[in-house]
Amino acid sequence: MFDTTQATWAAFWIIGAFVLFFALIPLLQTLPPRGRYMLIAVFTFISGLFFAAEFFLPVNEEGKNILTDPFQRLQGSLQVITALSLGLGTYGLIRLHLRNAVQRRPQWGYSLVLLIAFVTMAFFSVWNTLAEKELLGVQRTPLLERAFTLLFDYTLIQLDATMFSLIAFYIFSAAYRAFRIRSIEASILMFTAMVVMIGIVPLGKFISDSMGLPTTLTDEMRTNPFMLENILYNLRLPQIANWILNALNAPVQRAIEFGIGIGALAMAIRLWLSLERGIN
Amino acid sequence: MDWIQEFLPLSVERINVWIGALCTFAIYSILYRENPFYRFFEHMYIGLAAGYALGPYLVDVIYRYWWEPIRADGIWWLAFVVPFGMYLYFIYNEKYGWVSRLVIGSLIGAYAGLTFQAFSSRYLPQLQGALSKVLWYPPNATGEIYLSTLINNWIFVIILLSVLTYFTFSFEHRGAVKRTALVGRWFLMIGLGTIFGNTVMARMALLIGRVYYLLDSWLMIRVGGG
Repeated sequence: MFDTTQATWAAFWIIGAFVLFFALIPLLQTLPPRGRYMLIAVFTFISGLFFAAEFFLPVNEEGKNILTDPFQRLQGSLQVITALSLGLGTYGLIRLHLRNAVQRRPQWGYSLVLLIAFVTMAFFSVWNTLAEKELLGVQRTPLLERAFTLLFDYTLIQLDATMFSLIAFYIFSAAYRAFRIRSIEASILMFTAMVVMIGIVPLGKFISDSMGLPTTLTDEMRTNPFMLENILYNLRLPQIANWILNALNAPVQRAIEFGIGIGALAMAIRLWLSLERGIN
Repeated sequence: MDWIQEFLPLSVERINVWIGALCTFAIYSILYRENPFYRFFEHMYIGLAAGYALGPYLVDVIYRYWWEPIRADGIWWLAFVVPFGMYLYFIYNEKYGWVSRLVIGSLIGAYAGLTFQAFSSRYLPQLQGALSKVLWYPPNATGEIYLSTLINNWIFVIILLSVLTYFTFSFEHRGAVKRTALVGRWFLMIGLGTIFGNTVMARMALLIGRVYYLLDSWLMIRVGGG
């Protein structure tokens, strides 16, 4: 049940927080450039320290330490700020296209299309979210159902799927460039990609069947790895593709991940200590 | 005649399907060349995607992680999160723009801290798993292991170490290290070839999905089983 007293108190706190934070700005503005830099560095360091310390501090029997509960709340807060940054991106996009439309710049009509699509979809998307969560007493209506289905299911989803499937056409020209055999590396790349592509579709099974390779693995074959039928069974294209995926591809991916992990760690330390110039 | 009556956009459901087909043709028209039809739907797509994000990613997140904990759980200090996050919007202001860096710095710091966590909780167990693979007989107390598993484990370790050698830039690659790095590069090509093959097949699946939509939902030609 919605408690109006709690909601009033929450609104009171929120208004107070807004007033406080915006009143702080003239005060922050008095800081000299060096002080501003230091303040940003301190904010960066403390937030990094908090998230790192939560993991490294010892935990009790329940698997918690002193920072675990605030950590979970702050993770939520991180999501809120990330969502606000999404709003910032949207604001930038809309500002640009609004300027195009108002100043009648070349091709301003497309900007107008974007703005109309944005406003319409934003209205129904927010309405749909509020109705789903039953917020502010917003109800689901037939108009919302019909409009949201049309905009989301039959327009956005269709455009999205088509846009991504478009890459299927361009990937062939990319394949041509990648598969031109000019070195050992290009040959290995081509051979692997071809085997994987053919092996994971029914064509691979068809080719293997046509060559008369065994279609099933019997118990006898399973126990004797050097049996001819077993060797022939493992030469089937789907089996080879599967082996490449699991035995050859997996360690390569693991090595790439380790490289990324170590690189990310080094970069995280530089960012955390504000050593990376151009950020702060 | 029945087919034509069903095919034409004479009902709300059919209008929706026709709009979906129109979107598909509009985007595919770029394959011929740049044209206004494509540009119209491209801008519509960007507008719709940006507009849609506001519902689930802004309203929902703010409600779930900010408003509700303050109202229902009385976590009052969370009230400061959104005003602090709103500092981001000063980025377009020349005079107060630097204030937005407080938020950006906090976000970067937080994600750096989370990277330490991710490294410890994700990569270290993976490293342990990779280097504790069974490589000799007898493998364990029960002694149950296939020869193929043993061979694959050896392959795993050899590939992992050779690719990691290729990624080592702390010293100059010479002699045995150079040869190992070269083999590592070949193995890396196998990995990249696999990724490429999988990407091609995933995109082809999407293309098949679009063709299926046009044939099945729009033209109402029943294809395939199921």
